[in-house]
Amino acid sequence: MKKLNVSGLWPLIPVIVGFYLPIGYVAIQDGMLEFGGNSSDALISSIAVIISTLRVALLAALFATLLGLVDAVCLVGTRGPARAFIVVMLLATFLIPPSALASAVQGVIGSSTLRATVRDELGAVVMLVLRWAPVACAMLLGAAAMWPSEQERALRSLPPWRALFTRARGLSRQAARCAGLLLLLLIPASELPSYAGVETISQRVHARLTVGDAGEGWQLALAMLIPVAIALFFLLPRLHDSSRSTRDNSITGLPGVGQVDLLLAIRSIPAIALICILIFTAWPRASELSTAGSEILGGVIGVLTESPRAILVATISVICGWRLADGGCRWGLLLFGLPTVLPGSLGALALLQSSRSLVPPLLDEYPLLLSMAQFCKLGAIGAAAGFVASRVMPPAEHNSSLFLAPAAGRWRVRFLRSLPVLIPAIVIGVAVVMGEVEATLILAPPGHPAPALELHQLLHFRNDEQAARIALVLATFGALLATAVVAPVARRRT
Amino acid sequence: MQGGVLALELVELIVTRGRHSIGPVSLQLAVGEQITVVGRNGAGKSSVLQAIAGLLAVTSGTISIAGRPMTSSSEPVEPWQRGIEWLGQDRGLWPHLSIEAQCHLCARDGGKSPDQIRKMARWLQIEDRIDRRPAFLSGGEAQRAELLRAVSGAGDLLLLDEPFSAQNQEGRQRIEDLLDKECQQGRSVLLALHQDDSQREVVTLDLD
Repeated sequence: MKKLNVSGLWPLIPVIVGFYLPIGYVAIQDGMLEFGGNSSDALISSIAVIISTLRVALLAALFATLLGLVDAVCLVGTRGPARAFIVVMLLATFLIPPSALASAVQGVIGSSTLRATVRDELGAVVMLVLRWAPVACAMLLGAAAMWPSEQERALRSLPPWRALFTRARGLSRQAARCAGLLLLLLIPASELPSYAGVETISQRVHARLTVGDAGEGWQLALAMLIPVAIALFFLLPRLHDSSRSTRDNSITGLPGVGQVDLLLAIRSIPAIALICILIFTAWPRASELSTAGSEILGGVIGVLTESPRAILVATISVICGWRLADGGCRWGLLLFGLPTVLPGSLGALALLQSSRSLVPPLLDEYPLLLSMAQFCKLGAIGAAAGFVASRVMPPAEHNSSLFLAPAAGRWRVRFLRSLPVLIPAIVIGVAVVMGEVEATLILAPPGHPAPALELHQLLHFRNDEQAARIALVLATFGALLATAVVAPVARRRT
Repeated sequence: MQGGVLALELVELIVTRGRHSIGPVSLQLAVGEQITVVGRNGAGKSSVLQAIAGLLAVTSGTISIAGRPMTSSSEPVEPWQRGIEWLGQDRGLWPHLSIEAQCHLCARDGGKSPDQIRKMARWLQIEDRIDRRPAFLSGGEAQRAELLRAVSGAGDLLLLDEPFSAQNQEGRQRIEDLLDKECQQGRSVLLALHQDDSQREVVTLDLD
């Protein structure tokens, strides 16, 4: 039996300090352990919400994965025009903040108001699929990149459509894992379903913690966490199996299929339409030019001020997740990823109640607690990226690195080889942090620039024009980030 | 044999790969010697080498390297702690580093000097290639480059799995000459080959 390497668990320290200790402290104080007759009543009364949450999350995870699989297979299995642009457009619906996405979807379907047409589970599923399909696509593109060169060449000798179906079948196991991960990420989702008027378990927990019986809120959270934790532990496959391989970067031999180009062009329409709606809404009247200019400038300054922190938080989280995966620590990965499964407001509230008074007044104006909460919230993305990255390296390369001293093998070989997976994961993390509202609402210091929060508030007060301007700035920032990742890949493929 | 200590000793070694048990295998490799493990496809040559290197769990039996037991201790001995240099059957060059950088990385803890690495590269006819990354080498060159990386390290035991598979007669001869020189300097070599017509001692594996 492999001995537990305690020194390799240092990435867990921020999660323990920033999540588990505050959660444990506040949960016990709020009476989570005081089970009585009301506890079972609370659970029973929440069963309808739990079932609704699971239904929305499951449907959204399945459809997002299906869409992501089609996108990934088409992108990786054919060559065609403007592929870099199409990839950026496919990723755009994830890089635009959820509130702007919801507003635009509702605008397309028939209402410009915030809580109107899309007021049911179908609306929630549509918005969640639009937002998370790019993540599924990115994950499956990463998995497709792991095809061994010889298999890739053999695929290119097949007729185009048969090759595409063979690729899709080859990716089916990874797609199942991707759907599982998305399900875990979507169970705690609350913002997009709330725009569709669907109550989720996260919202109920948040409501109980803030205005209701806090103990009941913690019990609901625990009931939500335990089955997920058990399922995760048993479903997490063994690390370092032999499925790693290399890839062939060239596009020589890939077929050009007109129908696939058409399909990809159609898939880009939602993102293009979304951007057009934002531009149309943001377009100022002649009398508003100077106001609009200063709002856009304010948005740019907000994004530029906030983005270094978002990049730092996402980078540290992904590196910590990778380090745990590289050490082969299944328990560590589980502990690291679990905070993602709980509502973001839960960790933020616990951190606020337990640690706010401990922060020296001198540091009050810095978003330390907010960064800590967001770091913990990104756990599953870091863990998933680390898990995938630990499999990207071919076994022969991995084995060779084991003959070096541990630090050299880890940081000079395996870490650098994992960067093609870790950098896109960091971009996803940055997008999540930049669009995050729950923890920001609770923990952002007064006057801290938070474009997503500002956007959320503007939409709440139905200031659609100013909201669209800030959403455009955020979308442009996201598109630039995506281009930074896509451009080198595109260069290698041509 | 130098000082009576064996470079490698396997006693009744059994390893399991999938549903198949391989072994028992026993052998003694003295310092400065070369032994070849031969066998048909699937006989378990690579598995035995991987078990010696610490890349595959041992089912039973013992492995001692330079007199130090690898299997009896409760504390597992990691691959990098075994004093081994490794050349696997599949290409394991790291694509993000040049050949030279990889050799220097492996040679950091008491391995060959930069001059010695260059001299060996010249002998292996890849001197003008070692500033390149692996993607720019042919199959045979990549195999010789990986051998160069293995020989650059400080480990006294070389485990080489099919080191001639991508070589023509001249390439094979140059590698054999290099291995002979290394053995004269006190290193020991265990090879896995399909067949061996040389003068080396041979251990034959047969999967039941």
